[in-house]
Amino acid sequence: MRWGIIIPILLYVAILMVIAWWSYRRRREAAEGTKTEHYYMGGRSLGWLLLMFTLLASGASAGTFIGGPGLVYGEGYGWVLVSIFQVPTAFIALAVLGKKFAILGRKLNALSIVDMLRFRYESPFVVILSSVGIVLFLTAYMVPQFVGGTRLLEAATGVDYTLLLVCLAVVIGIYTTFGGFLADAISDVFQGIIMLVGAVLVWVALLAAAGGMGPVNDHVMSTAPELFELPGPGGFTPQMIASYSLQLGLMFAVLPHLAVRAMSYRDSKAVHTAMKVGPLVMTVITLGFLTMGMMARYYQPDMEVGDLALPTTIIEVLPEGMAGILFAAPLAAVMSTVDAMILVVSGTIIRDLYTNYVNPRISDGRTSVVTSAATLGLTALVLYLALDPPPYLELLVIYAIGGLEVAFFFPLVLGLYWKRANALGAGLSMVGGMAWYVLVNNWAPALALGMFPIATSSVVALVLFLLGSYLGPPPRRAVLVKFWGTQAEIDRLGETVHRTR
Amino acid sequence: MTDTGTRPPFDEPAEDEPFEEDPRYRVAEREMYIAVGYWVAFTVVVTATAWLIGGGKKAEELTFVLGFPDWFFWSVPVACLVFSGIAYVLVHRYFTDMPLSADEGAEADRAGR
Repeated sequence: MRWGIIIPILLYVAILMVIAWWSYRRRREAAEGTKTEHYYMGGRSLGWLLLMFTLLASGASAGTFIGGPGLVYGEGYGWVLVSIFQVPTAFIALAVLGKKFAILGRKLNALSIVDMLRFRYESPFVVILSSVGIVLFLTAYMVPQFVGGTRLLEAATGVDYTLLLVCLAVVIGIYTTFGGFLADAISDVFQGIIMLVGAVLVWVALLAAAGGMGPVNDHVMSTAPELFELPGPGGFTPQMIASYSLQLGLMFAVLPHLAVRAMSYRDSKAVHTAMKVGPLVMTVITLGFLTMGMMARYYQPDMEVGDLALPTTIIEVLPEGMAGILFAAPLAAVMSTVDAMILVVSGTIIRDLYTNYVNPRISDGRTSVVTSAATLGLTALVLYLALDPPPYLELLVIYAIGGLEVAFFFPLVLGLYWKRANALGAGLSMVGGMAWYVLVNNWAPALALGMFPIATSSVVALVLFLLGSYLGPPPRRAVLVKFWGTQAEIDRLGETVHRTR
Repeated sequence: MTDTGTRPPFDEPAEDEPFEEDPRYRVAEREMYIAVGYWVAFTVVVTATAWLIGGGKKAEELTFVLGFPDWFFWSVPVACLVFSGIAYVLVHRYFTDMPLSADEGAEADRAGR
């Protein structure tokens, strides 16, 4: 037991609880009819600081803090190179979905990307397919995040794994269930600042303790010089490097738990500032933590599990109290990603599936309650899976991010900006793109043409989308009015609907 | 999808009747193209810089800048900082402030006329 590390982490958890309590009170005060919107959107009230950090923290998962440095430790600088494609995430995500997404969210009262797809394509097939995809893949994806976060805590504190896992789940469960989106977003700011400060502090501390990059480089040069090379052990050819940019840069925006943030902000000033500052913040966080993977080589030359190289180094080099505060950073990364995903999945189950297809007459207040219950249940399920991860889970995890991106990018983005986009195109693109993605990953790696699997899968998804859209009937006028017309035109649409009934 | 084929009731507007478009969407669309262009540039610059300077070189042939291999130094920290600056300038100069609420666009539009 290292109390110097445990106490700062407990303090950090206490702060999260206060945030959840405060958000819960605000949510209870929300008027009937806006409760659900409040739970999932924070009442569309985020300012730039909340927006930027909630986007960055939800995107930067365990990968940035545990997996990433571990890969750099094992395979060198090439991994830092491809990871920086996430640097402009805030700018690209917020500008590609754009203000149109935010305005439509308000006009149509959409709370998720499934809502958007439902209004745009009016196809139960597309809605159910996307809902099931989100539930399956994101639930699976949360499990290794839980496991990674817990392993890290275990290494840092010396407390029993199972106990830590249960504690982590309870904390996440409580503050997501009661606090909802607003608590998530506020804790993301807090967590994001810890990550930012942590990246700078640990970096400086490790560098000072090593005596600059010189000794680190000499050490790496004499033991594993290939880590400096390109392509290097990671096999980073130009086409490989560029194709990572698809997954981490452009298409990242449509991941359900990130896209939802792109319609939660208060006004255009908020989104502009988040876009201006976001890339710089992400530069510091990404470069800080990933280059530390290389520094860890100096301190721990022969770790077998690269993932533990950085945590072990931090414990060894930094004084205990400081190490404890910094361990909150990777923990924060895990928690902020998981809570965002839990909310999206519970929303998908309750709002996109249950209230749409099973019980459409449910009241707003009641939805709010059922949703909280679903959130809690979901946390319990993920905890259960994380205690003893089933073998098939790994498959779902591999496909989670890239697969969801391939499935959603074109239906969402072309749906927003191309009038001809229709349900046949969206359906074909989702099914075909995903099938190709699985095929390339599992059975036919040659079809990736030396690139990350997402590259050829995206081309397939795009071609099918265009094909379907030109073969199938164009969208109804009412859909076009909803997605392109003024509010007055949409209101007129409502009148005719009433008159004809 | 459900009502293709059924004839619309007489008082419903015809399928091809034009409607007033929300002018804010044109602005949003332009901003989307700016972001996609930015992404293309970022990808190309990072990949090209890294590969042209360091591609295929052995570790012994590499020179170091401020403690990093030269290809890494130029394509990662420098590129990130430069493109963070570019994002700032793009948003500052070419992105438009606008109301986001459902009907305010039309109101603002009318007020502007």
